[in-house]
Amino acid sequence: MIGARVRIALKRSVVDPQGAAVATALRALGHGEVRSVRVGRVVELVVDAEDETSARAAVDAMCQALLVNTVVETWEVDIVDAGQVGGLSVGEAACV
Amino acid sequence: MRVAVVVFPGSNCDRDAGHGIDDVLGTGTAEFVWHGESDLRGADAVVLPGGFSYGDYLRCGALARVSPIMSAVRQAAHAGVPVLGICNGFQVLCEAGLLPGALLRNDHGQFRCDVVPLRVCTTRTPWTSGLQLGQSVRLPIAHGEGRYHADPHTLQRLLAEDRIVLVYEGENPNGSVAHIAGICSEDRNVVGMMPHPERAVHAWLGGTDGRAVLASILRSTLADDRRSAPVILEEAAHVPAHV
Repeated sequence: MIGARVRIALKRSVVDPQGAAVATALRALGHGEVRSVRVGRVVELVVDAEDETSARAAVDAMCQALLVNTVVETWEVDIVDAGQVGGLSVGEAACV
Repeated sequence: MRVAVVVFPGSNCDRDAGHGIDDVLGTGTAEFVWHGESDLRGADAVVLPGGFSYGDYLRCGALARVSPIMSAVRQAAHAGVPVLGICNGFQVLCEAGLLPGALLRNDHGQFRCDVVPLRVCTTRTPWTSGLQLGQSVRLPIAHGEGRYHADPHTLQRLLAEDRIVLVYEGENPNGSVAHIAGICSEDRNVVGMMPHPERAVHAWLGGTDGRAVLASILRSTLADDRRSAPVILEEAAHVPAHV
């Protein structure tokens, strides 16, 4: 199993009101040094793959098929240790 | 005539759409189709209603477009069946690639619930054929992510091919490019719009301008209708004040 972390961001040419709102909130908290904020999305996956190359190819295909709206978003894939991105699944008891 | 209203988990304007269609086109016209079904049962037209399909998870409309029923919707769209996506339905159509572009968070960051003036830019679609070119209509909007976006090339094409269906006449409520509120597909049968015509079908709802949008499909499906189309169009055009 191979882990993948997909970092999805709005294209630079697209206005990000969410980021602007967060920037305003940060400044309200006293962080006047904030010049700009853009909010993206991270999707972590664990995939069955032979090697890093095939994992990357599979995840790129998933990005184009569903995870990313290529009209307005860009993405980057980091291949990581599967243990770094796994988590509890829906239905699994959170016994902390 | 039968109009399929697709119900996704999280749709919340499906009943409004059903009522609107039945009130304008006749009781029993609307037929709800659950997203898990794979067949539109030969519907003459399809409506994808507003709401928050799949809780807007991932992106608005992104998960709805892989619902089983969407294969049938895609097939119907390619066969020329009139398809109307309202609000979240518009987002689903864009995510599905049945319409170009994307819908983004409103530029001011607020959810906007209002009744807005719109200009009809083309009547060459099955959902606007009953309107007048250049006509001003007032329709309700209610969305947080209605900012239509398309790259310059796509926008140029939409303009050149007369595919911009509705534009905001007054203040643009979401910052959409070229004030766009609705567009249609290359084949013109698939229309997406942010305003809610189904919420403007009675005076007591605040307006009746939505009736002509829903009644428009009669012109494109006349052959299939067992009722007299001129009568229905007449009814749609003359709504008694008390209705």
